[in-house]
Amino acid sequence: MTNLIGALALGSVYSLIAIGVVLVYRTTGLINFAQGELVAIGAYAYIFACSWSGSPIITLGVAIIAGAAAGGIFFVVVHMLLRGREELRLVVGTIALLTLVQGGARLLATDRPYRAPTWLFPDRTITFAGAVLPLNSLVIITVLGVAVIALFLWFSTTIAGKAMSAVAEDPLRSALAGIPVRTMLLLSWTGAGALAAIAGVLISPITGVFPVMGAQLFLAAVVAAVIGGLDSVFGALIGGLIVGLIQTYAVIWVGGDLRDVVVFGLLLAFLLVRPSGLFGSGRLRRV
Amino acid sequence: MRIILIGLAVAAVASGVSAIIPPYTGFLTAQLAVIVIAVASLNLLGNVAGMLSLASAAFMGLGGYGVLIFLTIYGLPLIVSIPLTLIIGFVFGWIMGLIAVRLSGISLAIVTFGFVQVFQVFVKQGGAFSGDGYGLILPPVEILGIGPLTPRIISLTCVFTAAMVLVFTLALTRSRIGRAWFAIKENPIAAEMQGVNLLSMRAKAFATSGAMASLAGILQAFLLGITNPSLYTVDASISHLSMMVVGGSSGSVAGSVLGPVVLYFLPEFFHLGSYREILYGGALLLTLALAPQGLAGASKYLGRYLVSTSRNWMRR
Repeated sequence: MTNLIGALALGSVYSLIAIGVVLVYRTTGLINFAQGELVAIGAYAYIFACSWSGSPIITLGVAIIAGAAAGGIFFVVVHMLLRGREELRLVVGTIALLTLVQGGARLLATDRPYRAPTWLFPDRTITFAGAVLPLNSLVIITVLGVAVIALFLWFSTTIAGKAMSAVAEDPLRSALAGIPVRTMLLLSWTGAGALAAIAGVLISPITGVFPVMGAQLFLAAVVAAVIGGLDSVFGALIGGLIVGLIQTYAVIWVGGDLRDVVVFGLLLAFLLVRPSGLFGSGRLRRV
Repeated sequence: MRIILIGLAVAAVASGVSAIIPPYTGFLTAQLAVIVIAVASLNLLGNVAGMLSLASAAFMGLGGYGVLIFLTIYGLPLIVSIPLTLIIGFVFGWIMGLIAVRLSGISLAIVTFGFVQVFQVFVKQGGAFSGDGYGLILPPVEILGIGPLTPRIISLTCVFTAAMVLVFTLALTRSRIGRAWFAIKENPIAAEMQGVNLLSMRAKAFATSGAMASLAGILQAFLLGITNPSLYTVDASISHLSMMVVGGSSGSVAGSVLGPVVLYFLPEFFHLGSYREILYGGALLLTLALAPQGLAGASKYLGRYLVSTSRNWMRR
């Protein structure tokens, strides 16, 4: 039971990052290699906010604003500075952003992980039905649930959400219908940044905050997105949980450091055998 | 034939120059040569065959660890170890190429990114083969009849090999295979219509590039005297990628040299090591935004511009 909750909590963090990957991929057809760096930016903003405020709402808010702003800057770089370049060059552009953020973090902070306080509740456990559960893990799972429900409501009930889905379907015709395509692209990048920042706040008490923290999470998150089908938000949610479960039980049964190998195996298996993933439409692009 | 002769002459001059410069600069030059080979391998893959790979660090690691495992654990002589290691790099590249055929460019980038992470796991947890995670140390080696390998000899070999590798890639891109790769990059469907076998050509490109990167890894292991996990991280791959893009596209040999000189040699020479990542990322973004053809393309353009303006000026 304890392991299961831990696995789901880890998976929830992956899901949050993977949903960001999917938001960007759906609207632009790009994998943002710097998605993990948005997590790091959120985490750094969070510990910075923690140093002068104890309110969980303010600290989370500062992290989200920082992540969303960074996502917006990434949008400006990829879609305005590099406008019109071929797809692979845009991917290289996101790799450049990754290097810049990591290098900047190394210059401004140290390589040694900072300790981050846990968000909302101090670190403690509760006993439920005979099992000892870390409260923090339950918070993480709840936050994922809230975020997904909010996203679902936003996509299904608001005009902006529907416009964004339309842009993902067909940018050209959406533009003809009067949808501000560029604003929608900006929204998907800032949304990805905000989600990654939330993931950063939730994971930083466990891993600490250091310059390459995002790079470690990115591979698992992108595999989660591939499992889900790359263009499905729901798929990314399930994919993240699957990766979290498999990683945790791989560590328990096979032993510590093979978890990246297992994840890589999953990635290859899905890309080669079922490129449209579990929930992907498979009609968008050849993956 | 002419290319090979010119290449030999250039290689001889380059090794001669690197023999008379001071030791630290000589060491930097040898390091530069190693990186040039790695970047040339990426260049062949990216700009000639049109595939984006982040796996160059892992292939270098295969070379470095491979040759030291053969030398220390199996006790094989140098003459056997190096070819065996190159074959391993070639085979792994071939497998990666077979995978690459089924993937689009972006998925391939993810897979190669994951491959480096998996390689990191093996070099950290590989037991005796990875020196229990601390890496391997080069044993004293003798080449037949010359005596022990001194740093100077190794540096010379690095520079000479790099020059030969550049000649090799130049010859390769002008051969039948090279033209097939260019065709695939420009338009895979049209290339297939012309009878180019996509599967075998992509596999060959990856295999060649893998063997080249392994060669760079072998030379690096000899030059540094050690291998360890931190040499073969994704960061190293990204640095090679930056150098390739900044150096220049369209598979030119000039690009493979210009990129490493600007992004590796100059910063090291002027002791700017702590700003390395900012430098890579910034140069990469600037190149993508302002000079998509890289320094090689920009200098070609500049050269033409200067020639034509000076001609006009002379006429007046």
